[in-house]
Amino acid sequence: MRARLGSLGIGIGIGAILVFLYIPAVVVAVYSLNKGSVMSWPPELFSFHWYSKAFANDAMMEGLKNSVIVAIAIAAIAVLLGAPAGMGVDRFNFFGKTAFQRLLMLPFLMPGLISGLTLLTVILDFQLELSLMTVIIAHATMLIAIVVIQMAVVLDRWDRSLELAAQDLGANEIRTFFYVTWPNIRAAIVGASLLGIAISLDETARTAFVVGESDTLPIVVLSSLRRTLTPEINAIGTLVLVISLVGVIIWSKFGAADLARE
Amino acid sequence: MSVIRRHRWLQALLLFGPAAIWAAAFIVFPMVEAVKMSLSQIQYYHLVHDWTLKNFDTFFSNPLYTDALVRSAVRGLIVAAAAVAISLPLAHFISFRVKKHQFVWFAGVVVALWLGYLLRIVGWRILLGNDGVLNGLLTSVGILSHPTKVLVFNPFAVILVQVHLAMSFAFIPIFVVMQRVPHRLMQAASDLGARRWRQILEVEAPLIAPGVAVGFTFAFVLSFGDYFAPQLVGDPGSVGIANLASSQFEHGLAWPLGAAIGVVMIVTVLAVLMLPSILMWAYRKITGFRADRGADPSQVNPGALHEEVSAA
Repeated sequence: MRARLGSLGIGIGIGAILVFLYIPAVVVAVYSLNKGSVMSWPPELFSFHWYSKAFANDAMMEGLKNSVIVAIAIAAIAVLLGAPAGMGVDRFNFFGKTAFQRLLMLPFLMPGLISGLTLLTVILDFQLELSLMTVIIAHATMLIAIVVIQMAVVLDRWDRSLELAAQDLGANEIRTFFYVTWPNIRAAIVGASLLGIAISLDETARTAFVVGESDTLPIVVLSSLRRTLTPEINAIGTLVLVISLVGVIIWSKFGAADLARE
Repeated sequence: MSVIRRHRWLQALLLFGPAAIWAAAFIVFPMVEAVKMSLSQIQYYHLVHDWTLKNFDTFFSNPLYTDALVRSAVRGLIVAAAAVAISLPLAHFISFRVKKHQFVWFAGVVVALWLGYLLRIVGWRILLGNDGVLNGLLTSVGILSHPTKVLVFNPFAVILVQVHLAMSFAFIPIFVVMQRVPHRLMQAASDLGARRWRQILEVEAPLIAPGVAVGFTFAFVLSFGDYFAPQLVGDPGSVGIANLASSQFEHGLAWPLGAAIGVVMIVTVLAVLMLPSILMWAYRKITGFRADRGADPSQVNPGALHEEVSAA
């Protein structure tokens, strides 16, 4: 009896935690389908009215476009800079390597406000122009660390003698890379880029400091939030949530396939 | 090609070079610039680098700023403690109680936290707002006669929202270390007669301590550096240090003071981030002589344990 009461208590506790975790997402999704603009109880379902309003909202669509540009640019930059560094972390030991890794992690560990603020002091001091470029720099700086760490983790698990075997069999470095190394690191690179894109689409704290005339989507949402709550925000937010979740699920299938082949 | 092949330092340079240059230009240099700006002042609408401590003097002599610093630190501690307190039972439940489909449970938690940062604040505001969901619900079932205004725009709402925001940072590190706790170890403690609470305190707790410390510091840093929740669900009394830092750059020419607040925040955050490693070092120093009490997290090799158990 006592044991059954205990597990009932645990069940209620865990249930309460899950309700707490899910409440904001459920509320946002439900009220994106609300008919009216007053978001009170009970919701008046169902209407896709706010979705069409969001698509017709020029500022939001412009923001979405800018966010996508930033996301693609930073994925490219972070992979080009981070992937070689990740391979280096796996291959070389030198004085200060740990310090170098910690330094790369810093923008990821520190509040976004700090990264944004410090970058803004450079821009102000040198009287540079704020633009989408400064946003890209701020986001890419954060993403490089993720790519480096993902690469180092994946390569650490991988048996590098396969590379030596390929070279013993007469493949040069380039062939070795494309036929042996690349298939093994592909999943890590795609995974890190997707995570980075998801973070970038949502990043607000550092962006608010370095954004210029062309606002990203979260900045559009932020400035509209400062005025009033509109269900358009729920609609666009639900849409971004669903798209990024679908992206992650598709990747986890691919990633799983990649891992299964090994 | 052959030159590169012969010199390993050249290989290292090629691999690390681009990232190192980027880090120097966009991590190190901006920090130096922020420190430099915090030691400058604006004179006649121009930035003058005259190495003055005036901004730090303004900061530390004005209770507006020092109070906000203390408020943010206290709020950070409360938020981190709450986020860890919620993450621990949840992670423990999924790791030790759930027998099938653990990954689905983990994914279920992560999906809830996948909604965008601002959207999560929006969700709470719709829920708690003056004509929001909770008010509507409570008045329609008759608990309240008319909507109350105490739910949102107060310091408690800020804490509630920040705990939710911090959950992903607290839960994931704690869940990861719990996954590494060997079930056999808990089973062994149970076979030797330890009750459940003793198993948790003496076997599990020392093993998950590093993850808990990381989760706690991450959650603290998130709350400490967040300037949206106080703005969007708080009242004037919930303004934190982060709000003051950002507002110096929004209106007028108060950049040097803003940079000084930023420097104070950097120092605080770095100190907090280094705390877990300092605590671990102290923990090893103190418990090093009494290895029989609780396992040293870094010394546990689940594989070796497995061998020992199967040999026995």
